[in-house]
Amino acid sequence: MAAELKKKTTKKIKLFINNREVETKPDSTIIQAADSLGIFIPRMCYFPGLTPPGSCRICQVEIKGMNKLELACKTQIKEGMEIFTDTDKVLKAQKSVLELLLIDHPLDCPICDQAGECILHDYFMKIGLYKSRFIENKVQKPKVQDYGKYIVYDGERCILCTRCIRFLDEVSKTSELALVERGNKTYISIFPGKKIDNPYSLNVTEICPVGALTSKDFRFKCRVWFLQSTPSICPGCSRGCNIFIDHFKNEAYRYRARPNMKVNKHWLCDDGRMTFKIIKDENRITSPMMKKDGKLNKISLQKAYKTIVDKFKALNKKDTKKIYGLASPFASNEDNYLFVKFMREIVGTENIDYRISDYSGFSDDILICKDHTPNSNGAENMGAIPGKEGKSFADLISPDNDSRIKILYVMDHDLLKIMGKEQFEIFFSRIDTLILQSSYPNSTVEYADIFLPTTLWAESSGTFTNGFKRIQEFSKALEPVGETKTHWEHFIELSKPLGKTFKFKTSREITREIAKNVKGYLRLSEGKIAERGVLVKK
Amino acid sequence: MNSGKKDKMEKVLLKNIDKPNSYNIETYMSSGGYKAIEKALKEYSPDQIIDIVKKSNLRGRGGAGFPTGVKWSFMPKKSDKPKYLICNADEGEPGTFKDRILLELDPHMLIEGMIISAFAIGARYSFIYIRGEFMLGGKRCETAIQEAKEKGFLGENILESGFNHEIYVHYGAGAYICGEETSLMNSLEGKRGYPRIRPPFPAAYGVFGNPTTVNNVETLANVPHIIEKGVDWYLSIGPEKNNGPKLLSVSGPVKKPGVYEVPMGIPLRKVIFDLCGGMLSGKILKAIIPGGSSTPMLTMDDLDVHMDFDSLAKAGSMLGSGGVIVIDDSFCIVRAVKILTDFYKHESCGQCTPCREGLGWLKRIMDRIENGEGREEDLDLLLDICKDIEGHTICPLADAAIPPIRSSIEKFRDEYLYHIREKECMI
Repeated sequence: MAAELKKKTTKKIKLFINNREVETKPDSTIIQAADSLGIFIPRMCYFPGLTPPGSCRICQVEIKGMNKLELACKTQIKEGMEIFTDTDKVLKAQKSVLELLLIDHPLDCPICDQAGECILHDYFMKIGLYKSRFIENKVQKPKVQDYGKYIVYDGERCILCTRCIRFLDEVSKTSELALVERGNKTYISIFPGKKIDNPYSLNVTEICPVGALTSKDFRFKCRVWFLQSTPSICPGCSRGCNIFIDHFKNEAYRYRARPNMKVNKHWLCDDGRMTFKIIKDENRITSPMMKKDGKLNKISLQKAYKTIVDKFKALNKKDTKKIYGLASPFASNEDNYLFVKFMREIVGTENIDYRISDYSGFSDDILICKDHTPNSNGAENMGAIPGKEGKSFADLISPDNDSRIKILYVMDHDLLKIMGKEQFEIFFSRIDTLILQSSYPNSTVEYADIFLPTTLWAESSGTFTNGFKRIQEFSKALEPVGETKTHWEHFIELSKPLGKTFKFKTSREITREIAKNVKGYLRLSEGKIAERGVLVKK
Repeated sequence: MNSGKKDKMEKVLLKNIDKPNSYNIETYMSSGGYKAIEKALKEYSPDQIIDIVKKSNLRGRGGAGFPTGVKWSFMPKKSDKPKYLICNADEGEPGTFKDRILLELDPHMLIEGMIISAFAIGARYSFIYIRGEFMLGGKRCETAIQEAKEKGFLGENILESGFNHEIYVHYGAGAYICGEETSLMNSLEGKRGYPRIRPPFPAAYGVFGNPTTVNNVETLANVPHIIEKGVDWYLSIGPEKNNGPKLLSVSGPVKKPGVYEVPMGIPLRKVIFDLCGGMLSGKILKAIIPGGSSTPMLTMDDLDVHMDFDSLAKAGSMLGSGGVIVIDDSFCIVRAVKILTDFYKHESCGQCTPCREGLGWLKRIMDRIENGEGREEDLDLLLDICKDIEGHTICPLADAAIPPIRSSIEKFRDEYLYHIREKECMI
């Protein structure tokens, strides 16, 4: 029965698009079928993941046996259907819709943020290219309307595709926008006194096909044709939403959602989108520091490494039991893997943990997960938990524990902030040497004996394992700032003078070793990780 | 003047309206009202009623002329969901005011028709979606429903047939588009009056997502008479496939404008020069819009056309709603078309691109020509835009805006050219 059902649902159907015989999934609309086959059909109101209203009328196609043109976004495909997407009749209809949408459009492209990724602009070059026949006065509509924390609306640029309204109705389910007025006076508005106030508001500017809804954060910052896009993963929570980091001259300007049906579909949350701000955070420390006479001073990386090495070398074998390492759920699998390897194989301690705080926060049933770190699962899988006879962080800070700590090696965690000043200072009084290696701004730096500046996810490549055990890859978008290096590069530098050189040159090489050594990660050895990620094998 | 035997007919739909208190149930019953419902519920099955209406060739009086019985037969016989009947009383087509007469002066005829129709399609509840401005008609319908309930024609177990039915009156909020059946249903649901894309059709997915039939007031008012007097009687009125009485609402500079009940197929000449007493003195007939503002214009040359669906279609126009608008030679055609284009532009809901943008464009060109700023190439541009809009929209509103423009440019091009060249009206 189950097999039969499966067979039924996977059976493909045959049809013809532009006389080309194609096979595709049943239960698709023409536009879905065409998309899956790489056949271009223009669209404005259609957006995957939202109910098509069929109102823009630009996706009309010809179907053999039908008198009128039909909407590709609304018409279900049928076995043997003969569809034409490029006949004169179709092209004329598309051109006419475009012309009609452009008559009242302000054509203020030189000052419009959407220029370069505007559907009107792109389609005009692709299917328009007519001489304007319109000589009337244009309709005037509300402009520069403040619709929310991040959102500005320009009614004259709006083509009333209603993608934004449908997103707020169907995905965020907050329905802050509605159509007001009628006919060619129609525009999109918020309700009196109510702004777009939901954790997903910036999706409306991203899916807006024209410059009607723009992001207050991004507008006027950079022309989009300058931007380069690098695929990455949002570090905001354990969902691991797939993103593009759009950057120019080594500066990130925005994220765009990278569709992944298994993870974030087509969306991102606003907090996630803003995580790139941390790259330029003024509190981020980008040079190595060392404490001398109670004061932190900049030193060279070499000096910092040497000091750390000397600290380790100064300890005798018995003392290794008093060395503790805190791995990071904010760092990549590769970083954590090498940290764990460094602590176990070189330092020789089993006192390793990553569970310093639960880092929990707001969550919902759309995207945002309770765990606000990107890689807790990965840190655990990489072995960042106490081994046999090892002590956990909870053991270490328990009130009846007053044992000395020879070295506490911390990745990323801001212990001062997590524990509070009073508790942290009691804890700190037990520590001989505090080594802190942090990507993020970190208030504990004032207490550190040695600080190593570290890159953020956007400045490195690697993998995260999200809260649903999906391993996903991110690529380096930006060159590291200052003297930052990746966590794993620091461990490579430290490994050599301590007698056992790690021979990794790229994060990919570490990934391959992870595939070999970490249970469930074998699929990473296949080389490139699938775009939608791979699941940790049970 | 053609005044054959076929053009004479006893009044059917308007038979009560001249009686005092014609809207009371007593008046209606004293002339045989509510007899048809007894016959329908006791002697026929729902399917038999659908069959009778099919055979009668009753065609929708709202404008499209779709066979009513066929429309009813689209309703699912078995349905897990409740089925609904909606009476479309959102009469808003410029030049049309025939339903208003029935709603105000003989609401019981409509209600009897609705009960029979609801029985035929198996609807437990029905709605009268009435134009918001029809306050009097709405109140008369509400009172009539109450009266019918008291007499046992509405409510539970009507006339002990086991059939239950209730009718509710819902007032529209003033949008012309809500006379289009799918936006009517959205409006009834409390939503913005946007037409829906078909399929799904109302019979499958109508109001509140349930199977629904929408019929015009006049259509439903025909039903009791067909049941009572039979198919043969009905077929004896009007030409083949265009049977029955038809209400025409005549406006313009004729001696006696108003609502007339005529047999289908009556010559237009007879309507204007006989029933309406001809043109006001000193006025010369120039153009006739025969079926509400969206139907193509006719001229003096077309006066012998017969007023039924097929004959008017053959003559290049439409019977539409039967709203005959007479235009005399003192009225500028450009101005008339500008006013109509203005209306359609104003009433475009704005949902789909060709209508929203296209009508706005057409209006501005018409304004320009009217104001003496037209160019000769504007006529071709108007026709081109019409072509771009036609058939590409969700609902027929934009298609309804085109015929006045197209037919007037075709038949009164000289008036347009005069406007353009002389920068003023020909009249």
